[in-house]
Amino acid sequence: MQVPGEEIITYPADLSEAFPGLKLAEIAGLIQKGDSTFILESYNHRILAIKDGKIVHQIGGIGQGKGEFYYPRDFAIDNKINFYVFDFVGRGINRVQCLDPGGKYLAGFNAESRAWGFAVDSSYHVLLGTPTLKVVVTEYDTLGKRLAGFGKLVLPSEIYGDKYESSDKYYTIPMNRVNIAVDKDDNVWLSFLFMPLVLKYDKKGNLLFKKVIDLPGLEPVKKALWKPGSKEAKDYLSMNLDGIQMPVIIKDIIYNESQSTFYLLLGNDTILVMSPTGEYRYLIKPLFAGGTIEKFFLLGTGEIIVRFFYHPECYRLKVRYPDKNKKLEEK
Amino acid sequence: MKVLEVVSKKIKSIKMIYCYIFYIFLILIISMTVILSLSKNKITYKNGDIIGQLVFKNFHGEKVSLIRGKYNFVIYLKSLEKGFSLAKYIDKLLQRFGSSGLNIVLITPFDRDGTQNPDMNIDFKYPVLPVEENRAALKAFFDLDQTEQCLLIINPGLVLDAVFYFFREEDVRQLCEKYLLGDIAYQEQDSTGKLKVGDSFPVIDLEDLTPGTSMPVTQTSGLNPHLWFVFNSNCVTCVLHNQLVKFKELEDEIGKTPVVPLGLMFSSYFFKSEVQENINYYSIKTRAFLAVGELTGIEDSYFKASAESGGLVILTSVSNQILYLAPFLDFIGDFKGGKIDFKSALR
Repeated sequence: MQVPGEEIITYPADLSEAFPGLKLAEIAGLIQKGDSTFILESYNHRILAIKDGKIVHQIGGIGQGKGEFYYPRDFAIDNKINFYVFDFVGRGINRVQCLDPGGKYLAGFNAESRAWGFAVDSSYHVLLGTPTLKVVVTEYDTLGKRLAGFGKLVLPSEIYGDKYESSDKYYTIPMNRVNIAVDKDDNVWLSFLFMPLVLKYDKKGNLLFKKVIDLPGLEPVKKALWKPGSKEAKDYLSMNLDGIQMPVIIKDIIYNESQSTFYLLLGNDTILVMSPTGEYRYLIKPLFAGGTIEKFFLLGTGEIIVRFFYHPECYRLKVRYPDKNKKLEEK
Repeated sequence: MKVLEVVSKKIKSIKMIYCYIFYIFLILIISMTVILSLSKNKITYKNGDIIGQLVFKNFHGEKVSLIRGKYNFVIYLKSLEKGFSLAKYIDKLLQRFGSSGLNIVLITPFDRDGTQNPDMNIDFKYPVLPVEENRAALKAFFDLDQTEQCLLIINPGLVLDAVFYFFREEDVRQLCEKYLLGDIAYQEQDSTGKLKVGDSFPVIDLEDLTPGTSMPVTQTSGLNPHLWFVFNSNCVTCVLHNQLVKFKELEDEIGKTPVVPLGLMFSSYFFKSEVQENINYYSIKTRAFLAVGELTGIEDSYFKASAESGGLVILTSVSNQILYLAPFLDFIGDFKGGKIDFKSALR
């Protein structure tokens, strides 16, 4: 646990191939349930079930029909192994589908166009990031009925300072794009793609806390965000969701149920581990020569898998944690 | 006087009537203009609609119909140059699936005289139609001004099955297999026969992209030893706008390492002048080549999602043996770490 005033501990991590022998096409999601690993293969428009390193089952396949996927970008699995898939059907149309374990269509709806950020809670309600609807998150049932909307849009000047007040009008919607994670109590965690900000809401939509990530390593990324098209901006993963290309400050958020911790994949390619009350635990720094990490996933063992931008392969991180036993011996 | 008054009153009322008629006419014209402009890009077809006898026209105004009983893939590309890799690939698909029930039509802008860019030098097996003759037909499906590419799939009963606004070559292949074979092949295992260290580098015919070169066509076998940066066409945009930038950042540093010449090798699916433009834009000095045929052992021309879409770096010896082979990103790390024995290429 970080002590206030102390520099945050950083552990380096080595990389090794995550799925040797398997050729996977752009993994957009990975969830372990029991002894099976379910992989959302975006470029092959399908979900794979993998056991002992082999593909044992698949659902989906390319298409716009029910039970088919087109560039699926996220998914969730409930306790009955029903799948919830968020994909991109056509111009301005995102879709949510609920499928049974065999891939048979159960329910679904066309989501608000340009929705970004997806999660499913324990009541099988779908949470989507919807700043264009004037709220950060909207909650739906599986038929698409809107149940609630919460999260007041955050003005960029509230995070970046008053000198950016003139940017509030055009940047508010783009900067309220979030990734969503739900913890075991159905609390909703939001990490903002273009602001160093994490918010936590309870299941009724009440704000529980707000955390501005103030790590020194993020400063260059934040500066680059306000210099679009610059050489500095090109060093980082950028996205354009609302007509403005910007480096991503927080790329993703994952909840580690077994340890009740949160992992944030930051724009400077480090992984921040946080407690449920927002304290920094430590940083993980993957050691690699080139490229930028686009996504990360968590196995049930707590192992982290990363995928690089424009690279189909995934890599396991072997974190060089200090040897506790050795420290005790030295004492 | 009274007569004059009556006449002048009548003249005034006639003038008023003409005024009213004029204003009504003006309002009608304005309304029709507004209605027409609003309906200009009105999309009328959606999935499940019967297309009926949708007819396109070629450059000569001759009709090109969809074929009942076949799956019709109507592809629109705003720029054939930018979509060249796709256009060439679907030619291959038609050769493979044409007899299984596939029909392809490509619609794209033509030059004013109806010819295509002579650099294309391709004789596609499917009709290539000018967008200028087919605007009215296409705008019922999508807004042409806002669309870079579109794939319409019309089934054998001439029903619109799907409309895709973003698609890669690999997606078109999977759709062909889905509709025509009922089963999609996935490249799930690392393919056998892939090149590895110790193999002989395959003989690949190359077109030298150096302007004014005296030997435009050559072979890899005559260019040993070499440090090749090989780019397949899985993502042409990625290569031209990302990998070439990374290469340029390294170029001077690699050039300081003595020993072997460098070479850029592009799949034949790249459009020649687009490669040359980007090389000039980034001021890349390394000699560049375009493969004439297949990139044997490197690019699978059917499964377009073959490995190493980010580029492959291969070091060949004097005797054409592969001494080093790695993805471009891994090469960067190995090179900076001093892990590559370039001098071994001269033995």
